[in-house]
Amino acid sequence: MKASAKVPKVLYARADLAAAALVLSGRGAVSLSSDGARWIVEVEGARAAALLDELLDEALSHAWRQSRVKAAGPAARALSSRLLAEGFPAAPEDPLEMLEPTVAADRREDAERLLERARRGD
Amino acid sequence: MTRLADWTAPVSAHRSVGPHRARRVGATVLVAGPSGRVARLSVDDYDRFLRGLPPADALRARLAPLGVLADAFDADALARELVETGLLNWRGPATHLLFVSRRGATMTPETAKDCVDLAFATPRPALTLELATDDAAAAGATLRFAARYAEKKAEWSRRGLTLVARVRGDAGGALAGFLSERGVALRVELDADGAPSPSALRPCARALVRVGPGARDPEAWVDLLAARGVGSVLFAPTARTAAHARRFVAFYAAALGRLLERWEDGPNDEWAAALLGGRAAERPGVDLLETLAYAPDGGVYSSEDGLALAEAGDATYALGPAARLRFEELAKAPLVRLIAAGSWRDVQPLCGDCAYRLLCTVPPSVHQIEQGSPWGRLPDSPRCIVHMGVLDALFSSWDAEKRLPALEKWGVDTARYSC
Repeated sequence: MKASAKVPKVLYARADLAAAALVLSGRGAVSLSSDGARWIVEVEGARAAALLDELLDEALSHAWRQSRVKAAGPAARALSSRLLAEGFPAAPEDPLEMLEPTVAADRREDAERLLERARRGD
Repeated sequence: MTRLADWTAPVSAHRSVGPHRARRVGATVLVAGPSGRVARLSVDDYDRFLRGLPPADALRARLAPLGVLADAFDADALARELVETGLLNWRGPATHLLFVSRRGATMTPETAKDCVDLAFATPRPALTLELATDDAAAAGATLRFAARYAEKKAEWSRRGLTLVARVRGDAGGALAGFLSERGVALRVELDADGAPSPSALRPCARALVRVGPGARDPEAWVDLLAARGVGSVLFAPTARTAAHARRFVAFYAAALGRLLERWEDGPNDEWAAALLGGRAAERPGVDLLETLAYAPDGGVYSSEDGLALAEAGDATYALGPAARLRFEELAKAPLVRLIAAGSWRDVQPLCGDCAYRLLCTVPPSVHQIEQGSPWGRLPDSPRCIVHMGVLDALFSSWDAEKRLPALEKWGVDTARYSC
């Protein structure tokens, strides 16, 4: 099945339509041509008309999101970079295990005993 | 086009009115400040706020803690709260969801040990470990091992641990006895996709009810749950379309109304409590930020929905095997950057302007399932409809005298809310 629409280029940028096409990945094929001021968008796949609606909604949403990214992006990038740089510390080492090697060995034995119980179905 | 545009908050140029977000909830206006503190005002009070409140006006005392009065701005308090509630104070996911059995596959005890070890490799001072099974008979030994080993790990590391067993179907007498003996909360998972059937629900203390598109008669569901002794109920949508999401919201609102009628102390609803009580970064189910999911084969996923995507052939939300993952190296994973980008609300259309901004995040894996990308399409996002509908129902039903204080027993910082 195929569905097509002609949409004004001033509202639908090529990059937004391309990004929207990714969302339809695996469900439909999108092709794009032009008659001058308008894009001719064609979608092929099962329920093509619904996919075309989804594509056009997604393109507008992508454009909207890009405007938000442009406005709020620098702060979001700075904060998320800090989260990625500092937000994943390892759990602190257990001082007992560090000071007394037998503690770690005892705990490994405890864990092994629990595993053995589980292997017996207990 | 959007539900946010159903009602547009008037703009005020008065010098005492600071930046805020507002949403019409029933006959009131919900006002949210920059750190997520909210107050529910009458329309008249909101109008007075917009026109500028004189210094002696009693409403100023309610609104000042929100940070919405430009002429009474406590920058130190706001900065402190933003750090406390924000992601910069994040120390790993709070909830680790181990599928000790799922869809015919059962986790071995050795794999469960790897998963528990990874959960305890995160630096959080307190963890919740949820042990989920759809075949309690096959997975009983692994589930018991995971519970015992996690208790040991918590004791050794002197950390808080909450253990929950999520069981689909019958837990069986032996396992139920083990859980009860060790104080492990048992949550029975069941489907509501039609009228309630008394034979489908055995007595239990907690229930996770998955509400399908065909669910009917929410009041009767609540009555049945109450009759079976359920003290805590968590409703979750199976909705993946906007139409189903709206039906879920209607079901939830009616069920909540019935819950409030039956339990006068307030909604005994851990989901609401978690949504409102946790730090802003801890929203139930948000990929990695709140949760990690472990498949029976030891594969680690950013969430239960991320695991479901992998089972359907899309491994985008897979992090790797528990035996080899190191928490401190996760920041380098491309998936973690994708999650950070997908869930950052300020760059999301609508989220950035939403009154519920600091109470809600749609997990990227949910967006991926429902709308094909990690950030989704908010104007018709089914999960956004669900979250906004649930929050509308909760806020419109609470009062400052009785119901909101009742949430304090769930650890909700009710000082952040004024109804």
